[in-house]
Amino acid sequence: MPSDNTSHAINPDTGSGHAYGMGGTNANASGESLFMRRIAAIICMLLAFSLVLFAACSPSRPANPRTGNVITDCAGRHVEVPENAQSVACLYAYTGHVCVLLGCEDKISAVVKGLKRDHLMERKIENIDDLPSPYGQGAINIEELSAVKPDLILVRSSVLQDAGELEKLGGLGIPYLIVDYTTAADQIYSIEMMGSALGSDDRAKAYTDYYRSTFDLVRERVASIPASEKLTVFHSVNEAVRTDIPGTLSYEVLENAGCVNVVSKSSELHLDGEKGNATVEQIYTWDPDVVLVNEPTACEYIKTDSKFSGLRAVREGRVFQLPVGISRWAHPGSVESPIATLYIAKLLYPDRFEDIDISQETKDFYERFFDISLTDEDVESILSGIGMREAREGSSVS
Amino acid sequence: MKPNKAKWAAAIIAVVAVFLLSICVGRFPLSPDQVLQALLQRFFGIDFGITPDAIAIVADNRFPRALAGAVVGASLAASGCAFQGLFQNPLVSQGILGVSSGASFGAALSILIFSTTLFTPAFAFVFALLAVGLSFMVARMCGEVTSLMLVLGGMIISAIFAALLSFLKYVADPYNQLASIVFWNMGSLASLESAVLPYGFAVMIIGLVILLGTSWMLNVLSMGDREASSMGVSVKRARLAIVSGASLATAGAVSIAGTIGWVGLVIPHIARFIVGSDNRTLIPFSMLLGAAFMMLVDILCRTVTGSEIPLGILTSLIGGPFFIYLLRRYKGRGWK
Amino acid sequence: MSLLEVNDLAFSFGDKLVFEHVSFTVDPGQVFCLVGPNGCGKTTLEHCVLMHLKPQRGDIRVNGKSLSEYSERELAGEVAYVPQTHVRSFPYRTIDVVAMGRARKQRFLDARADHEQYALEIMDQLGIDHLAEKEYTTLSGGELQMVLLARALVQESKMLVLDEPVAHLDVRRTQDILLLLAKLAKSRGLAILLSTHDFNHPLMLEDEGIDIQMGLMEGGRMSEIGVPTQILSSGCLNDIYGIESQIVEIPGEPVHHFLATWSNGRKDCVDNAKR
Repeated sequence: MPSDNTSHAINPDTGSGHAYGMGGTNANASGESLFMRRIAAIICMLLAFSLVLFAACSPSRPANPRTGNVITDCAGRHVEVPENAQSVACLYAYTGHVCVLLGCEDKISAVVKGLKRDHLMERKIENIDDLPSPYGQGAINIEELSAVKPDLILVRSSVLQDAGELEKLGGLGIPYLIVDYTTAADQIYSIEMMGSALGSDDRAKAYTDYYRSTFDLVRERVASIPASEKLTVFHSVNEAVRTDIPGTLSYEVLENAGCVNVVSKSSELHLDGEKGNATVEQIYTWDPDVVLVNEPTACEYIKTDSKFSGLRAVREGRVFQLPVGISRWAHPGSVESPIATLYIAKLLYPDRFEDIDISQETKDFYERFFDISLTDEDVESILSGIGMREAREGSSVS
Repeated sequence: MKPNKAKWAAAIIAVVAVFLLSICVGRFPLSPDQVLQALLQRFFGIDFGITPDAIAIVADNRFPRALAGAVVGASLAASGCAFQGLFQNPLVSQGILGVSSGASFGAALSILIFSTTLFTPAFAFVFALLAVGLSFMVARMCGEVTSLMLVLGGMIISAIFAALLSFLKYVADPYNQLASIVFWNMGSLASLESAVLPYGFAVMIIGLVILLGTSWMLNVLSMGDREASSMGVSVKRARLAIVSGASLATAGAVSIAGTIGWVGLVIPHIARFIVGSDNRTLIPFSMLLGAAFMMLVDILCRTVTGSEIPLGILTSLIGGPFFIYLLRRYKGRGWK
Repeated sequence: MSLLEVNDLAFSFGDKLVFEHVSFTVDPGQVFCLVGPNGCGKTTLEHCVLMHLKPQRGDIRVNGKSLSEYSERELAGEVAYVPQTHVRSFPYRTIDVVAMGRARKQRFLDARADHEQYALEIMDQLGIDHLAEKEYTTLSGGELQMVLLARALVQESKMLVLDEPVAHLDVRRTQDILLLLAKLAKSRGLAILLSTHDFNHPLMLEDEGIDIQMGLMEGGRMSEIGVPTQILSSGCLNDIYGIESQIVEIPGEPVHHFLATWSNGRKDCVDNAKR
């Protein structure tokens, strides 16, 4: 399990994050530190180059993921899968969420540790705490995994970059699918692909239809907002100053909701793998109208620490905790992207979404796609962003 | 005497200049006038019409950060100095004796237990002291404490605490605790927590006062235990005081800025080249150099790109080659 | 009252007895010279007096007060120490090393105060003020010995304990230091406890006309205590070293005693001593 299992991955075919960082580095090279930037540019180039080398397979995405018994996975690999897989090992938290979405939660035979702390996952899979978790710290415990004897293994694309992990998986003789995405379109494909592989095409299709139509609905409603009236947003991901990388899912979710992501104003973010880190001063310079936060502790920090006290969004009380359901809405690793974009759009431009009752929408959303009946308290808890994700014993979410 | 005065003046001017530079430069465009006005407006209520965001940038971000950089740099340099003097060994520093990794482990442990950062300085201190004690005990296990054994003991203890820290990371909650724990072994002034700063400062300043106050004892102790005791210094108590002071200073630095390598090793050596080995001048001079160096490196960290560059990368990148240059130039003067 | 009273002292390292039944006193202005062959326990005895080692039996009193009642700082006011060997670790300025003798007067956050001035005065008196600004790691062995002596004097205590202070020095330097010690005992009333393995040293001090006692250590005992000329002419060296000896007076000089020794009929020391 990677240390943060909810992060999204940079799709190896595009290497978009790095290519972007590189362009920005050159474009903004002013006199002040040309040398450092050149060095940085060279390092970025080397990184991008190595990514290209590692990601040997370039995905070509078919309209239908399935041809006979063969599934084209998110990395463009053609994998022969069993007819009726009954035991699935989810070695990436996102795949566990999608299994629930596909009504396949009973087939989950192994999970990553992070999944065990999601309250809604616990409701769907009562024995989730007893399931083995054969993936941690970036490595598969191959003996534990083979003891589970899954029919199908679902892993992240980062596995493709690790020759040792690939060798272990290959030696197992069990088919494995790469499930990963960078953009919303990628995410839709990943859901449909898993639906095909697990024989839940209809449920997958129902969700991706909702996905597309909700994105379209929101986009159309915010389209008429003049550029000058669009709100600028800083999106805090996990840590207070970590934010979106343009061209990735979370960026797209915000952009679709009519936000001007402040990251688009500057292109000098240092990309640490899949994380885009800003600095406090950079955020001040961006001067966002609104700050959206995924993590309750980070939200509290931004609201109360004197460092951020001068930020206009803080002074005007426009720092908002985003909801947390099955996963953290609008987080790069979240499956709930359509309702997230709707929620954010309504939050920022309420007068354009007066007909939407977000509580009812939330209730319906989980009922329809996840077969979870929520009480009003549950809905409140999800929308407040607090309480649906359990901290470890001995610590509080604060 | 004259050139000495010039050296001190230069060091003090350097600290003040770097401090001013540090509150004047950043990603947020502000002129030096605006910076001054922002400070006056915040601290003396004189209205210059500076916007709240500019005031917060200067008074709540750059100012505490520069101050923290200065005190952390001074603490690391002074305690590095004290450890070198105490063990009469140019190779030791808080990093090599395991003090830093002990303090990091203590800090991380307190986060895991209390889920608040308020106890981190205390925990960091206890484990820093424990680490240096253990390093010394390991070294003494094989009879006489030689330089080699001390470095070896330190490496062992340091590795154990580093491993324990990694283990804490493994069991920590990835959503709420991990980020703050990872921070302990990164080393950065980016994530100063306003709530912990006063505790961290208090711990560092107590440590620094102890180190300044006992610097003459360090000199006497370096004459050997028997001679020191015949000159009227209680060797055990003096050692305990100095180790405590150095551990306090290191623990305070670690609890607000994480583990920052190299400063405690390189800065005292540079200071030794410049002002000689008398700890009464060496320790305060190292503090000045450490403060200036740390603020300078931190300026680079937060201005070169739109993201923070981890401090440790730059301290090593700048400190290492500069150290080689000095060794070449002074041919190891300051040590026999 | 004697400054130092040692009463029935015994010391052993583990099972190995170093000495027992050692008793003697040193008065202000008096030099007590511990003489004996290598390994007889002279140095160990001195370390007991300095509180570096704890004797198994017996009693040491300084100024009438038992040693166990002293703190390091208090004892440093009574007794100062000049070691035989000194390991130099840092290149301090010589003046700083001498000023360290003031450590007992230093408090927690005390500035350097007048310590340096005082150290310079003492160095001037010893004729080594020209070394003040030098790095003490560059000094010769003889210079270092003088510096360590200066450091002990700066301590302003009533008694000096010196461990083989002239062991590594040439004849000239040896004579300088011994004469200096005699002067210090006479003019300042210092009590001096001194160890040496050369019988000529106590004789030289006696020639200076000071109050001197010599304690002959041998076989784990202090076998003789008395004035050097008396002990050395009593033929007891024969018992200890198995050699013949005789005190020779140098003709033409007031009183200058030198010890001549014969081993297997060979005569050697006189020629050396005359130089």
